[in-house]
Order: sequence, then C-alpha cells, then structure tokens
Amino acid sequence: MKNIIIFTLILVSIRCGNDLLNVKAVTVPELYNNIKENNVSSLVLLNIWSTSCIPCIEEFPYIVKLKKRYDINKLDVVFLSTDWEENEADVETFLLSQKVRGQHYRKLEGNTQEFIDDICPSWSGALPFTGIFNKELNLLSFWQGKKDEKYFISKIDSILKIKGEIL
Amino acid sequence: MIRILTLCIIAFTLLMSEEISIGSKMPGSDYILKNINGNESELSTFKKENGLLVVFSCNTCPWVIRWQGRYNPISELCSKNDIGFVAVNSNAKQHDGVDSFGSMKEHAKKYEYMFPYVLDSGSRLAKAFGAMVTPHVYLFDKNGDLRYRGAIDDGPKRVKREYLVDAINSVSKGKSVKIQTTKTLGCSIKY
Repeated sequence: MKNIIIFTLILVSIRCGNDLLNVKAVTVPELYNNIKENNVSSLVLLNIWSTSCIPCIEEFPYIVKLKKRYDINKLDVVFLSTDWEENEADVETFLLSQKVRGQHYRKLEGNTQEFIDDICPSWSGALPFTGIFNKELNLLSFWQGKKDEKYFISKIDSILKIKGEIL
Repeated sequence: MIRILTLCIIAFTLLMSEEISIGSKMPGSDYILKNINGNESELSTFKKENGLLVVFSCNTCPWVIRWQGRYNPISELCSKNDIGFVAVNSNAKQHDGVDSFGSMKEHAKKYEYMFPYVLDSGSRLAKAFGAMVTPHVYLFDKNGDLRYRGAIDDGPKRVKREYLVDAINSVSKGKSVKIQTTKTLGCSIKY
C-alpha cells in the first residue's frame, strides 16, 4: 500500500513538473547537456528567439504547433531565448501567453561571439535562428530569419525522409 | 546518410550571400544612396582621408536601440581620425513602413545623429556586403580595404572589449587591427 502511494505521488509530481513552466539560463554546452539528458527524439529543432524580435514572435505560434504535428520519437522542439536577464519576466509572460509549459531556456549573459559559434559557425547572429539536429546534436540544417509554417514542415519532412522515418 | 545531410548544409551555406572578407575592396562604392538631408550620393563620397566606417542600422531593432548611444561618440572619434562614418538602412521590406525615409528622418532627429543616415534602396549595398544583421559595422582603411567587420563592442552592459574603437585607432595610425572579425546577435536585415 505504502509503495503504491509513493509511486502515485511520484507520477503526480512528474505530471505537475511537465505542466510547470521553467526557464533556465544556460551556456551552449549546458543547453546541449540538458537536451541530451531528456531527449527521446530522432530530431531536435532548436529555435533561438527573443521577446524584442518581432519576426521571432510572429513565427513562434506555428513552431509550437510542430510539437503536436510530430510524434515525440521523431521530433522535439526546444526554445532558447536570447533576452537579457532584465527581461526574464517578459520571457515567462510571453511563454505563458503562448500556453507553452515545461523546460525552456534563456541564453546566459556573457560571450555572445562564443555563443553564436558554439551553435553554428555559419550563423551571422541574426534572429530568429532555427537549427535541426540529430539525436547526437549534430547540426543537420539551419536557417536564419523568419520562415513560414510550410518551410518548417518541408525541412523537417525532408530530413525525416532522408533518415527513412517517413515515406 | 550523414554525408548527404552534411552536403546539404554545405550547399545551403554556399547559397547564402557571402560576407566580404578582411582585405576585400569596398563593394558598391558607386551605389547611389539617399541621405536624410535630401542629397543623393555615391557611397565613396562618404570616405575620408583615412577610411570609411559603414554601419548597417535601422529604426526599430532592439539591438540597434541598445547600441544607439555609441553612434555619436564613434562618429566623433572617426571625425577626429579623418575617417568617414555613414549609417545605412537596408531594410527594403520595411521601407514602406517602420523604416521609411520619413521614419529615418524622425529617428535621426530623436537620437540627434551627427552623421549621414542613408537609405539603401532594394538592399543593394547590404547584398553587396553580404551583411545580414543590424547593428553590424564594416571599417575600411584609406585604400578602401576592409580592416574590421562585426560588432561595435561586447556589450551592451559591462563592456570589456571595444572592438570598433580599437580598430579605428589602429586603422587611423596605419597599424594592423588585432581583432578583425566579431559577431553579435541582432535583427536580420529585411531584404
């Protein structure tokens, strides 16, 4: 009986944890370690955004929808905000307004050059940035600037096709 | 499989407009740009004896706004060192809106610009430079060769490295620039 109660409590706490919004300030290595620890997907889509970047805000809702479109075994979507520490509350407010929960990330303030090169040396630094990684977090495809929903879906589908995960 | 994907990434990277490299001659020097004072002139006319600083900028980007306070002191430093300074608005997609010529005038007035602020119609200059982000700077020497490109400094707060100021001081004295390229986050130029 005691074991059943403990097990139920663990399940409830895991469920509640997923329903909570958590924004963690990270470096790129910390971000990658966090993703690797929890990842079960073949592909990881990383979207780098900011509350003060209008194109980022415009494309955000349909990136959220990708989570529902693809099975978690195929694609996970991770958001990383580049907002400054002083705008931490704005990040949470925006994410809540988009009805997203769970683990989110914010760039730890510091060396921006290193941050950009660690993500992708060919990235100019322009926002938004989206990268598609494999399970080992090798970058397979990336683009900078706002794109429409169709572009996202065609990119993801083409990589899944190459990997033989969709016909 | 990975090879195919890697080739796709390489192909994509090559398709992106390439940014001019250190040592390159100033591209688009004969492009006509419309200054907020009403004059239309070639890019080369903004060059002074010791060179030219080209700053890709705009009216609304939060990163531009953050670094806005550096523009006037840097233009003064350029002036003192006989280097020209021009800010360029290449957001062609927004030239009918927030980055219109009228809005550029208002913006320059609000921030008391002490330097020319020009409209790059059709983003021609940005494309010639391979510029993709604002704010982003390109410093050319007296021969019109690129000596520094990238961020103004490593701010916005707690600035440890003033990349551009160091580059201006070196170029004006004919010395080599220690840090020649840097990157920073910013807004994408709207071609």
